[in-house]
Amino acid sequence: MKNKEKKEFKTGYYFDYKEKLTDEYRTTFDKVEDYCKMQLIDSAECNDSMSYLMDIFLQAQEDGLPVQKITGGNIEEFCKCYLSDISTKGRVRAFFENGRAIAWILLLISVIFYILPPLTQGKSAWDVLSSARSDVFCGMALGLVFGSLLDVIAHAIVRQMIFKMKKYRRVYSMLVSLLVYAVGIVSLNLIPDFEIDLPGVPDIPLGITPLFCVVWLVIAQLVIGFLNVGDGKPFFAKGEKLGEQQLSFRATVLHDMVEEGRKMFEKGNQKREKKGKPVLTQEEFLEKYRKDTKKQDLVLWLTGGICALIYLGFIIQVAMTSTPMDTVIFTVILIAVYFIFMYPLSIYPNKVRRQFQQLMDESGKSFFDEDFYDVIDEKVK
Amino acid sequence: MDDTQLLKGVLEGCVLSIISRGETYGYEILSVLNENGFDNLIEGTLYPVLTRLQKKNLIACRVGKSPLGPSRKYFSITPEGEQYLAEFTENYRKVTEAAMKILSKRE
Repeated sequence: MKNKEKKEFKTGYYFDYKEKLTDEYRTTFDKVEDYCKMQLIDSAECNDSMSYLMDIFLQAQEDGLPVQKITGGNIEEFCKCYLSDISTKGRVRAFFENGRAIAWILLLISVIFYILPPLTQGKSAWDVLSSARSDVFCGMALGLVFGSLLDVIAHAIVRQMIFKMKKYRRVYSMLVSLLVYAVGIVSLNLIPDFEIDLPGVPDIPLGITPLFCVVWLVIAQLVIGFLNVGDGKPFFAKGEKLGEQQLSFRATVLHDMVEEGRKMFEKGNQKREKKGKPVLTQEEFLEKYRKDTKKQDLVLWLTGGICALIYLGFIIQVAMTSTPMDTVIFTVILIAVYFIFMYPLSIYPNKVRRQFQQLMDESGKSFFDEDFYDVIDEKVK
Repeated sequence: MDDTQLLKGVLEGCVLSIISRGETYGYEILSVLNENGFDNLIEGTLYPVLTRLQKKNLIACRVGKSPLGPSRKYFSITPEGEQYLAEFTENYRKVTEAAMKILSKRE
């Protein structure tokens, strides 16, 4: 397939076409989109459903039909019908995309580590729960369970609010999530003080436990907030089908970055014009893009370094008061938490950006060149 | 009288029949249905029907280019769909004939 065909065929995300909708259609579309994002639907299926709806809206608008001809009089009923048939696979993917599921898995691991060893020694579950060690996992467990449950309820409430409010702002669901996690963190203070002495359990000093839980819950809330309300690209999505050819997910992402790069150039120059600054040539913009890629790397190393220092503080505290095996277990959990949350947010996008820059440097072409798609496809076969 | 239940029974067959005429897409199907008397039908009702037909392998779907920009799903009927449509049409004919006989004798 020729590059021109590829470029024309290549489907943009639906939000690229929103400005083509009139007020009536735009308002309705935004409501459906907000509702879709609040469902347990993975972002790939959400993007697909919204893309098809965008096509229908554009066509109906062109034919001069009122939006009610497509959605009926009750937008809420329309949303429920239109988004009722999400695949089980989509819901499972959404569950794992959503940070809340990861939090549940970590909770399960915590429970296994803290409860199982004593149970195998003949102690009852009640003895384990009421033992001195309970404040270590109870703080994390209660905060996670309470926070996650309230998060689910909060989203169910926000979903209903979408139809009642004239203008739904995404920041509202962020605020609700923050409130939910604040309640979860407060619950940590309700944990009574127990003496701790169970085999196989790290001897974490009491002082750092609430601090650790706060750090973890704040990160979890940020991830959940981003995944639920952000317009980030789908992380677990499959690639697009381009005619008969199935593009890999990585190729799809790189194709998208070509369009993104061009848009950044256009929008950047529009802003510069408005501010009375001279516009950048393509070469100047590419140089800026290269520098920004290096800056992003630096930011990633910096944040990683800060996290590592904080983690080191925790680990040293644990190492001073626990056995080596307990320290190792604790360190592994911390590292797992960091990578599970940070990988989709910053490590992977940064890796792709670097690969994209490398492709441009090696081939001598850029995202302004029409045949750059071929370079991508050749490299990512 | 609420005709939702009646609609449920025939909608799949009608949609399948429209698709059997040639590859088509959601908005076009909706337009044909509206033109032929299904005035109150909306996309929200149609889309799950299309998904169900696809799951039953009665129609095939491909994502293609829309002249307006975003992606569009194009549907075409499968051999199993043709067979299902033939059986549906025959059953529908029998049921409506029998029903009309009874209803026309109401007075």
